[in-house]
Amino acid sequence: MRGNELLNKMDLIDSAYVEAADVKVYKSKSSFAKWGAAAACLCLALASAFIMKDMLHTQNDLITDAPALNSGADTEIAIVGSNSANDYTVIVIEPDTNNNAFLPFIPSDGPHASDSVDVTPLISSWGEGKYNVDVDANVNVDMAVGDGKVYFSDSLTAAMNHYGDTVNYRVLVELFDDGTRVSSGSQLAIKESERLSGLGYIVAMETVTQTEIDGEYTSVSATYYFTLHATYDQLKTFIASDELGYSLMLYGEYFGESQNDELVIFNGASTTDCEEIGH
Amino acid sequence: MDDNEIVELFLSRDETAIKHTAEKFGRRLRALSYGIVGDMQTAEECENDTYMQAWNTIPPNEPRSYLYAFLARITRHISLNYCRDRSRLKRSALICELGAELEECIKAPDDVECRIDDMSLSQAINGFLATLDVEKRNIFIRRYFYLESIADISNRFALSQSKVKTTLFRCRNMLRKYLNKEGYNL
Repeated sequence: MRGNELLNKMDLIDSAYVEAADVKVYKSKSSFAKWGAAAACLCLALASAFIMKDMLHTQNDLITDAPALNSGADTEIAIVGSNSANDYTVIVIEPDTNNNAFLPFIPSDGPHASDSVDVTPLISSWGEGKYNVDVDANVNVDMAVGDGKVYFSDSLTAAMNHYGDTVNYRVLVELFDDGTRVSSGSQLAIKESERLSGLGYIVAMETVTQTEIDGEYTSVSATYYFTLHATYDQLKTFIASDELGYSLMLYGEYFGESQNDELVIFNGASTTDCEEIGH
Repeated sequence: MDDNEIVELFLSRDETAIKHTAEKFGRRLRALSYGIVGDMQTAEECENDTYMQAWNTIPPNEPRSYLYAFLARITRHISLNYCRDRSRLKRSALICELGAELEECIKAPDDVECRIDDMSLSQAINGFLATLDVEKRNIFIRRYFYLESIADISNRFALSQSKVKTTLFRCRNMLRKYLNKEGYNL
């Protein structure tokens, strides 16, 4: 059989599937997933622990020698803020075309400013955010990751090599159990998120709500995405479970351009706590 | 007018069935055909041929639950044949591209016709689609049933083109593995 014949045979697809695919989808991100009340509390507790630790830092600990934004990177949004789960400032930073060293902008009179804030940029994208396989080259790559192993995407690797420990990383996690992808909303994924939280990782389970409108009929479904906000060291020494495989990629690789202007929502913080300052 | 009522008109050989079908589904069928054939006049011809074929096939068919899918299947078939029969180069290129993509899902492609009957192949394809989540399944069907471009799919589902390409690549890999695992020899 040839591909053209299989293409013809695609009219054997079930009618229900055919009709379900003929809708326009409007995506909106909701705030922190409702399933995770217990996980959210745990994340908040960990975030509070980080705040207590950071409150001991002085102004001199602020990062002042981060690499220039346009030195090979093409970061779309860097998010700068405190580590408080409920006290978060979002700043959109344009690439520095004068090739000057980038200094994180700290609003001295902003509503969430604090003298003891430890400001670390958070990276969610790199360049065009190419996925971890060259799909145009039609490479036959087995995407599943074996148990106990961790795969870093090319973009995440490049970002880590470039920025090192001067930034934190917003990472999407795909889990595999014996070669089979684990649904992010499953009990296994929830349990894994709790394990990682217990080890000090900041974990978020973000939901994307899809509203499908077909005439008068509206259906809503939610897809869960397992994300980490991790330091460089946490990624380098990622503590994998022996029972799961991990594929890590920058958040921006998966969601692409359509999500560029979305505010970060994690650890229970809502959009009302985030304020965009400057462009 | 709901699908059941329209089918009843077909069954009672009431010609207003065509009018009601065109009112309810005409735009979508034209859009489906246009995506394949590439010009509106031809798309309208395919749409009209669809109504004729629907008239000739209802009865014995009674697609009360999924009338649109029934009609879309006819439109797709007519539009694809139009492209192949008339060798319209630009649209043939699209069909060749899609055929080449799907050939990746066949373990050992050859020029022998499909070795399994339509019922078994239907079970295979739909069994595979049932393993996918909604988003992946819809992307796969938009590409290989509706023959939509990557750009149009990304606009429809508010995704990046990179994400759509990656999803399709993964789905094709998964389909090949599924067919091998389930023992379907195409």
